[in-house]
Amino acid sequence: MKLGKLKPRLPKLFRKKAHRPGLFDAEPVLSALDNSISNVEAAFGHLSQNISDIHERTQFLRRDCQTLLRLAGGHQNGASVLLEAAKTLEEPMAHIENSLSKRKKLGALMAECEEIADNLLHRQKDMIGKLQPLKFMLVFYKIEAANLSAEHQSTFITVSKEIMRLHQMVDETFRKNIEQLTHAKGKIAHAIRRFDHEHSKHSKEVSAQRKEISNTIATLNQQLERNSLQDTDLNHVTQSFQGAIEGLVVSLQIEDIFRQRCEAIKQSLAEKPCGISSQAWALLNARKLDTASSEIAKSSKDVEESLASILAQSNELDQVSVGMQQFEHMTASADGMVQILLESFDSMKEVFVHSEKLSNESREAVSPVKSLVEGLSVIVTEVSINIQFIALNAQVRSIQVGEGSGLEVLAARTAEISAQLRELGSSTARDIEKIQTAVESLSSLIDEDHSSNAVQSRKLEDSGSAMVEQLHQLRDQTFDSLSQVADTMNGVRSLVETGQQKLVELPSVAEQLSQCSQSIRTQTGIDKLSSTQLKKLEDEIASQIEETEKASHTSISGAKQSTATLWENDRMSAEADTPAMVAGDVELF
Amino acid sequence: MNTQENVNSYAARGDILSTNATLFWGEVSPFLERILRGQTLELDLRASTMVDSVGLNAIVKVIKSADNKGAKVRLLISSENLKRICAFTRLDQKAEIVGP
Repeated sequence: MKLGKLKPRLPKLFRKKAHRPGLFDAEPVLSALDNSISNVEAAFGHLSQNISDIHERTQFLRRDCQTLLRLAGGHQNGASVLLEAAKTLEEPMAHIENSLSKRKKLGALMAECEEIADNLLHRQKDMIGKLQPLKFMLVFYKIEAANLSAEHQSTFITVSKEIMRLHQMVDETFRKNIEQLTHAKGKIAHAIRRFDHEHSKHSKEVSAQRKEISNTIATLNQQLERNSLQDTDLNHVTQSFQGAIEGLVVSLQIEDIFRQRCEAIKQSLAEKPCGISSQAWALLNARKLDTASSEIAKSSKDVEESLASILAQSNELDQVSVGMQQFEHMTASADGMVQILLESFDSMKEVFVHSEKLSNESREAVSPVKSLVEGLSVIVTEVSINIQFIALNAQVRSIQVGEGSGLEVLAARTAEISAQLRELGSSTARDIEKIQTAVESLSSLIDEDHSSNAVQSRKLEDSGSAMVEQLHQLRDQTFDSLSQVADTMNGVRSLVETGQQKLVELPSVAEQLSQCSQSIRTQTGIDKLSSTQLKKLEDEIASQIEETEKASHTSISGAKQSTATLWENDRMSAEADTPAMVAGDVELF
Repeated sequence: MNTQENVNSYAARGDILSTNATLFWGEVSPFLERILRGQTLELDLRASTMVDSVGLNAIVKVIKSADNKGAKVRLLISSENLKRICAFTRLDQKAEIVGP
């Protein structure tokens, strides 16, 4: 009811300044009531709007927190993405492990190659050593040949030249070959060292990654089995937070109750019922004003406490959402499931790149050995045949020249060296055959390893890239969810802070109503009455209320409450804890 | 490089996201190559307000690489959002976080 409508109906009695007991000026009271309604409406109306926003945001917050929990705990799509990523890694990991076991054979073959190359080096050095005496013999026989006839000298020179040519060929070719073979052997040795190092490193890496992924999956499964969503701090705090908001919504219902109460007082001031003295009527209204004042003061305090509680809980929710202490292995953390899987993908890719490099290095190390050995085989055969021819030629010439020329000694020595070289050539040929077989097996293994690695590497690149993308998406979703929680929280905080500012007017409303009550008491002389007189007024009021109740057939809590109870209710209404109780008291008016 | 404090500093120009994480890694790598045992690599992320999953991966890679060389990483941040991400991802347990 508006003040404008009330005013004309106000009895003159109440418009004047009171001169007699029981009379008081109602204008300031009515004005105070209107102001109070307006102030409470402004504060609570704004808060109600804010609460509606907060409530809505809380729903989002709860949803965001649930999403965050599900993502952080690996629920929802998270589990399937993580399990799929682990499955994608399984094949290349198994391949690498298998490849590593094959590489043991590769390492053994490389070591065998190195050993045979070492043998070959010794044999070549032996060959050079065996040919060395020929060099001194040639000098000796050049001196001897000086005493022979021109014909025999020519024979000597021819044989010497052949021996010289052979010696030079062996010397030059073998020295060069030894140099190259030593270099190649060094490369193989380096490749073996690198191979051993990488092999050990890759084995450790793959083993560690496997273990980590296995632990990750086990933790994920445990988290899923425990249904940890029910058990998280965030869940509890979110529920409490929502509870606090709902509590505030209930507290704000006091606005309607207060307005009704004020309207009832205004109506009561408008018309004094018959059968009650002015002083009793004034006391009744003063008490109603006291009740309204107490109620609004208490409600203001309740709402303020609720807002402070919401603010505190939003801070707690903020901390809990960031902390996620419940999850030992949170999906999105820097050492969480996503990171472990991402690192495994990177690690596997790196292993494949290193493997390819290692294959190339091994191939490069073995390749010169292969061509050197092929060349060596030709040279050894050539040397062996040539020395045999020379030895044969020397023998034939020595027979032609006859005994005593010294050529027969040279021929015999050449034949001896030829036999030794032939023997060396045979063992060299065996080594060459061995090393050729080893190199062939090695090359074949390297090629096989290289091509199978290339296939797996491509597979990992194709399927792995998609999985890596999904893992990043999963973590980004978690970050988005966290960000949304923060945004919502900030929004709630801002609304709560605005609400708190709006509440500052309410204590003055309570104070104003209390002053009105006191003014009525002073103006009507109630505050100067003795306790007996006061008791008499109270009885009068109780009787009036009873009459009113009977007349209006008002039913309150079983309908048959005594007047004492009604008074008690009126007093208690000021201490009402819930709007529901307050709502019951409004019926009294 | 501040030789007195044994600190190498790298300042990011903005957010560390999937679009520039490779560039970020490329720019930080020389610092990681130079860093010595006992030294600190300071990543100045005060110009960043956001780090996505790929960016986080790059930062973790920097921290692990430094750790392998016996060096430490310090992150300078000024954004509350970034601070939340650092705490949420437990990056604050892997590196020293300074600010905001």
